[in-house]
Amino acid sequence: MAVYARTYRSYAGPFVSERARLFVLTRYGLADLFRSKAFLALFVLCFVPTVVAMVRIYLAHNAEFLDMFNVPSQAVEQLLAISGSFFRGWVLVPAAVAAFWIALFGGASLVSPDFRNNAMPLYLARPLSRSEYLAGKLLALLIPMCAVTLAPALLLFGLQCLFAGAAWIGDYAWVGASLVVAILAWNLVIALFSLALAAWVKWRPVARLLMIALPLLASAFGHAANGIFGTTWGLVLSFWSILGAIWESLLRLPENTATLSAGTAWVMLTLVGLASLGLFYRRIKAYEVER
Amino acid sequence: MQPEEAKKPVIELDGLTVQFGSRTILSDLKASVSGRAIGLLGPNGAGKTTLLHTLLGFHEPKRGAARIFGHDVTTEGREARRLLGYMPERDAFIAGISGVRFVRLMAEMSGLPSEEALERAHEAFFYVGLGEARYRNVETYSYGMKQLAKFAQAIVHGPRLLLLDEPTNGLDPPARARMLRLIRQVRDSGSAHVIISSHLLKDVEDCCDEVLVLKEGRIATYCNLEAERRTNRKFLLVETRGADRAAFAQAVEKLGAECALAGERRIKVVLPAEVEVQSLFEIAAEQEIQIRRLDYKRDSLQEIFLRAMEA
Repeated sequence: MAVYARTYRSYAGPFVSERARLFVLTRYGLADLFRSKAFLALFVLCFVPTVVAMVRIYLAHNAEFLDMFNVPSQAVEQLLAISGSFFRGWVLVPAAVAAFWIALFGGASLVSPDFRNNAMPLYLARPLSRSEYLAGKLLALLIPMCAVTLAPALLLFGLQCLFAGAAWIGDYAWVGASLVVAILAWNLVIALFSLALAAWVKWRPVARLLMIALPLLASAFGHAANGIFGTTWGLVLSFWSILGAIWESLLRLPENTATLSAGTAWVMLTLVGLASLGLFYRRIKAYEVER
Repeated sequence: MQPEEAKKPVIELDGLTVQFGSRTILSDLKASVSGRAIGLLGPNGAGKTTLLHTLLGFHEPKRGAARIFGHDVTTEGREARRLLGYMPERDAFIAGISGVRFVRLMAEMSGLPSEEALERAHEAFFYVGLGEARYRNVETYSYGMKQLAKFAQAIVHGPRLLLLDEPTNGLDPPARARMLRLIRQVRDSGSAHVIISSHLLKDVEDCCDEVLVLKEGRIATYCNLEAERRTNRKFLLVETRGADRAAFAQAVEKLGAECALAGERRIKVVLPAEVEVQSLFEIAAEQEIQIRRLDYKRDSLQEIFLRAMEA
């Protein structure tokens, strides 16, 4: 209808399927995230460690090319050997940091505008459930997170497989699965954590500040408790210790420096994830009712 | 809308009871509402907004059921909400995006394909009179503009039932007149029913053909305004001073008139056709009572409302 015909008319056109509707929030969320130049710059920056790691893998398998420059290739080969420590230091650590930054910026951007200005009644007055709202927003955050974490991890693992050959793949195929599990678990937990914080705090800068401050405070509190009571249980409050324990277990690292058991670390990560999920879901309401 | 949906009442309330904790907000509501535009009236705290929220599926009924075009709002909430458009009372929008993007998103959430949603969002903005401001950030809108943007998002997907919660709240007279005109246009289009929750009787009288009056969570009255207007007889509102008002009323009744005391000084009188008004003055003179004012009146929505509140 032409815009000059300013009369009300009903809508008689087609409707999209219920399933397609679920992705509307995700699509809009992604578009809003990438509209921000700062987010786009952060997104690109997250790939830098991957490029460096790719060069390292290449050099580890093509050290003889360094002979041309009179660099002792054997020493380089030993230095750059691809081991479990490589996957921890060059894949999992950058992935965890990248996921944290994406969640820090993305979580608040996706959710705060809805909660700050009471948009929830508008969403929930439509054929959309609370779970679908949650899934739509979570997916909008997980997609860029996985793009800067899971995709580079699989690329690096694939590159290593390509250079190392069938024998290596036969022996270390499980490393790929470990990387996927470790990255997905962390992405999911940190995404839920950031969404829950943003939903409760509403104000974007405060939500971001809290996302940095809360883990730091918890970790500091845990270390203080360790010092005072002479125990190591305070480490359960440190994201870094939890991740360290999980990674060492998944990558079967011989030098197990973690002081948390993998089981405890998984329990803590699950608890943080579930608590964040519960808090976020609880906030997805049209109105708060005073009982 | 399916043909069988169109035949069903707009809203059916079947013993609907809603409780918040131990507080009963809506108690055993029973009604079948089919009007084109229905006014939801009641004093503050009567349960108007809670009823709207229950129809939207925001609150679960403790007992009973509510149906919209035959769809139970609890068990078939998604189907029911597919037919609804909702304009909340409070500020409600998404920060940081343009008006047209906000309304387009809402259209897509209602199931419109992306291209159609964009076209309808532009149309809705021009229709409500915000065409020139559609690319501005919603946060920068004035209060009246935000009300219109909320109205635009409520109609963008062409709902069959429009729920408007205090649509003219806080609007200046021109903006209020514009909002009421838009509501009447939607009503007269014949493609959507409208439910307006308001405490402004004039707004409801201007837009609605039926009213549902709530009082303390119960239905105090449900009536068709046009039918009420037709059946209401013209009456005389007599304002008196001095002597015994009740005795005056008794004397008037002897003429065959019907009398009802209203307020402290007023008496409603329905005179038989053969009795002249002059008779009232003669009786007043006999009773030594002053008639200070005498007006011909019909029951307005205000009277219907006040009667419902007094019942």
